[in-house]
Amino acid sequence: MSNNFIFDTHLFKQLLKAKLVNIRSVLVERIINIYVWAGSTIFVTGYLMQSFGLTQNFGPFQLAGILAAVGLFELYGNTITLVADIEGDCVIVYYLTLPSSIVTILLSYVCYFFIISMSMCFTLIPFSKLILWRQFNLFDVAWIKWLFFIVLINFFWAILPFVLVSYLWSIERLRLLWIRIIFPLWMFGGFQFSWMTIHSFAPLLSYVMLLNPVMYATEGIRAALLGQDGYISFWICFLVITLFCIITSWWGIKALKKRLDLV
Amino acid sequence: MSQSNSYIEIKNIKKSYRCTDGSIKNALNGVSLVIKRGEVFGLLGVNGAGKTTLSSIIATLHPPTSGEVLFNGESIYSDLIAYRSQIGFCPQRPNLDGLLTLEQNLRFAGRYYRMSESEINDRLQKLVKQFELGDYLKKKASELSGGYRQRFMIARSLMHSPKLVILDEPTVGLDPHIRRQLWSKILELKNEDVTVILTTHYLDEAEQLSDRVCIIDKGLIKLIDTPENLLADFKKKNLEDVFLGLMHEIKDENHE
Repeated sequence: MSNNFIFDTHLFKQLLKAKLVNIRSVLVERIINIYVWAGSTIFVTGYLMQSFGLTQNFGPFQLAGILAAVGLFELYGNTITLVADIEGDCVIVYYLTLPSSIVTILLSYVCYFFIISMSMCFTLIPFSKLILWRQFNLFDVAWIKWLFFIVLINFFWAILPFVLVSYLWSIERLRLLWIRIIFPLWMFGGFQFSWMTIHSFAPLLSYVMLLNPVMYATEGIRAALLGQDGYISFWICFLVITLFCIITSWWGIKALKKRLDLV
Repeated sequence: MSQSNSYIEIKNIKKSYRCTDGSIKNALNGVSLVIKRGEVFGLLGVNGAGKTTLSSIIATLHPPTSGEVLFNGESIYSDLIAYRSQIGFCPQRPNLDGLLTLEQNLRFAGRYYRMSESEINDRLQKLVKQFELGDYLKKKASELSGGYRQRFMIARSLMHSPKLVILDEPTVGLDPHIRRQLWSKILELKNEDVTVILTTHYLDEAEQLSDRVCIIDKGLIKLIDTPENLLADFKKKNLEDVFLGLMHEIKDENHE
């Protein structure tokens, strides 16, 4: 095993440990937030909206959308954290002069973001079960598929801040992130509808929507959580998100190197 | 200067940046110099002269546009990890991890360089005593005054006992008496055979601390010599007068 690999592995472990020192307080806040958001959405769509004609399984349907979007909403906070650091304290600059490669440093951030959004997703399942109760049957869930897919999409959301940071070069520009990037990705990412529903009455629009990674994230989670019927094939979603991960990783490292003018 | 004497050798370094308005700024225009083992090497110049650019290239934060930096005769990029293991970098802007206590900042700084816990404890004790940090270890960086934040920054850069320390304007914005206190800490490094690259625009600081000073202006080296030789050559009483004299000469040359 090469010395550099040993150095990289050791440093990665320590960087992650340093980031996780205060994880408990961070997680408590995040889990409260997700419970408020998911709880109110699932309750309204699972019970109240039925009197407006929504089907009974709309609550679990929304839960799948929320699970896919946890990382998307974390993306906003994670990007703010990185931009604020680059514009302010520049702690990342210290890390980038440590004896390691840029990939190791960035991977420690990615893992930190990943751990937080994964923890949120995991705690959401029992919480949602309590709210939806009979509407959400845990025995219908393809757990292995769900686990692989939730890992994959949260990894994707954890990488994406590095691409965004490279283009949102000031705190002021962060205002654009929510309205111009996250909101359209979410609204056209199938949170309130499945891709096939859109395809049946607006085929052209449905093809455009296939450019949106959120669509695959949402559909893949639905296929694992609620069954394959009526959704894009789980394996297509898996493959496409994997491709998005590869492209985003390459792009994120390249763009950040350019932005920070790194060795 | 003989090659064997050189510790860091900088060969014709040029660095250009693209500004936000799209124009190109040449921060360094072909800098060559040699830094000897165990010396305090002062990089002097007005704001924007290229000191910080040069020190961040030596710290491997930014790559040069052209030219090379040799460490013990080898390019610093030939084994970047080995080189980085031997340097300590204290940037101009304090960048302690605000989520950690100051003790955790120092402990992790040791762990990042694969020090054992017993080595970390010994080193921590020594640095805490040397920089008088004992009362602040459980605090966070945001609770510190500028002077103590800077002490912690220097202490962190020394945690892994580097052979080469790059201090970029370590005393900027500090009260005169705190500056003096930090000077004594920097001089102590010399006794430990640590090579120090000290970037500063305080001329008294460079005069007091540096074995040799290098004056940079507009990305070019104007002078490199010992403070004593510069005072003798320019027939001045202090480095400030030498610097001002030199700047006048440069201004006159530019007018001609």
